[in-house]
Order: sequence, then C-alpha cells, then structure tokens
Amino acid sequence: MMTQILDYLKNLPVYFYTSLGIMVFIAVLSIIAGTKVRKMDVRETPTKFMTMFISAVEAYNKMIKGYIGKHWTFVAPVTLTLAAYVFLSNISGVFALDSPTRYTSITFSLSISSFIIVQVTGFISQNWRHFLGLFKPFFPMFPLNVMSEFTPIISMSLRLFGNIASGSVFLVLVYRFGGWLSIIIAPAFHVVFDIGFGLIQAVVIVLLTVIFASNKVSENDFAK
Amino acid sequence: MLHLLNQILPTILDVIPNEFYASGLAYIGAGIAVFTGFGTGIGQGIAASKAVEAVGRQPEASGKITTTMIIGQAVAETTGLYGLLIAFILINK
Repeated sequence: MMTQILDYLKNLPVYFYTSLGIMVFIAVLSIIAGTKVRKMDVRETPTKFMTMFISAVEAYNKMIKGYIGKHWTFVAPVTLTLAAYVFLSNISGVFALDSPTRYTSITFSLSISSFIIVQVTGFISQNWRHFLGLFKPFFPMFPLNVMSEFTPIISMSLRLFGNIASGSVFLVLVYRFGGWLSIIIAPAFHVVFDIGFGLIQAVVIVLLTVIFASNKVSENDFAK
Repeated sequence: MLHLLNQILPTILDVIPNEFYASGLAYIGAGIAVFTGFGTGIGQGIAASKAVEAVGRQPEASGKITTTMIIGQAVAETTGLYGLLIAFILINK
C-alpha cells in the first residue's frame, strides 16, 4: 500500500508541479505584502509599489461589497486568489511552462471550488433557510432548480479548458510551420491567445462566481 | 434513388474496410463537428454590433459597454467550444 502511494506520487505529470509552484508564488507574495502593510506606520507615506497593491485590493473589495453586502470578508479574499491563480496559470505559456488550465482535471477542480464558494455563501447568509430557496417560485420547480445549480460546474470548466487548449493547439501549428520565422511571428499570437484570452477568462470565471453568490444572499444583508 | 446510388458508387470509389476505416471516418466526423462555430460567430457578431450602436449613441459610457460586451461574448462562446471538444475527442480515436 505504501509503495503504491509513493509510486503514484513520484509519477505525477508535470503540470501538477507547475500548479503547486504557482500557488507557492501567490502565497509568498501575499504574505510579504500583508506583513508590510500591517507594519506600516500611520504617519509615513507608502512607496509606489505598496500604493498600487493597496488601491487594487481596495477597489476589488468595494466591487464585492456592492454585490454581496455584509459578508464580503468571506468572499473577497477567496475570489481574488481564484482570479490570480487562473490568470497566472493562463499566462504560463509565455514563460515556457506547461500551463495547468490546459488540462480538464485542473479546470474541473476550479469549477467545483467555485460551486463550494457559492453554496457556503448561501449558508453563511441564511443559515438553514438556504435550502428553501430551491422551492422558490413554486413547489414543482424543484428539479429545474437543482439542475441549474449543477450545470455551471460543467460549463465553467469546459469554457476555461476550451479557450486555453485551443490557443495552445494553434501555437503548436504556428511554431511547426514557422520554422526560423516564428521568433518574429509567434509573440503576436502569444499576446492575443495566451495573455488576452487568459485575462478575459479569469475575469469571467470570477464574475460568474460572484453573481451566482449574490443570488443566494438574503435582502437584509444590505441594510446599513 | 438510394438503390441507383448503390449501383453506381462501387464503380467510382472502392470502399475496402481495412483497419483504417474507423479512424478515417472519425477524422471526417471531427471536421463536421466544428460546424457549431457557425451559429456562435453569427450570435457574437450581432452582440458586437449592438454594442457599437450603443457606443455611438452615448460615447461617454464606452468603457462600461466594452466590459459588458466582452463578458457577454465570453459566456456565449461556450456552446461553440463544445463542438471543438468533440473534435478533440474524435481526433484521438
């Protein structure tokens, strides 16, 4: 049993290690930025780098507060991490790494975690009345409501996978038929497919999660 | 008419089912599956034209309109990608 587990762990494909490396990079960056902000004095002015971080996180928090209301302290950090992870792993093709979101195992895990975020937000906001929301307009709508909870899992993961995988297939063709000319041509395709579509898909996956979560929040969370 | 076709066709083409028959037809199927991009292209073009009209009516709101249009098109592209997924599966057969 132990040898089987060690065998499995030694023969993991390479994109698992890339995904782990991206998460370690995000964690180290966040810990450094967080301790610097916490130790900052009230009277001194921050440097330009810190000002950029602080204003970006503040703008993001304000947007989440507009959608969700009282429980933004749960949703905002989780979805910002999701956005940073998806964006960085879509870009990894430019740095000659094997981008993890090109494989359906990673994208299914991301969409399952998005489903968990939505359901937990419903629980936090409405305790046990969250399940009564499935019977909402009238009682026989229960099967349709259950299906419309579960289908975003499939559609979100296939959207992310399809965009990034088709971009990488196209780039393989460009590199193969360009030969020596692909040093000049290929960066344009990298900018459009990897960076452009990667940014759009990261924004779309986070915005869809936040919009689904804002449907589950009760109305008296917005009262001041 | 099908009977007529069955009489004419073996004199033009010679269909010999050897071991490449299934994978050859799978390649043809993969090419047909990408036709789902037809409706996607038309739908996204109509959405973009409405966005351009809206910017023409009120040029100050162009930032918000562009963001909304890009998000809407990224969601509408999913059904076109289903065809690409079937093509990926069929090519590996």
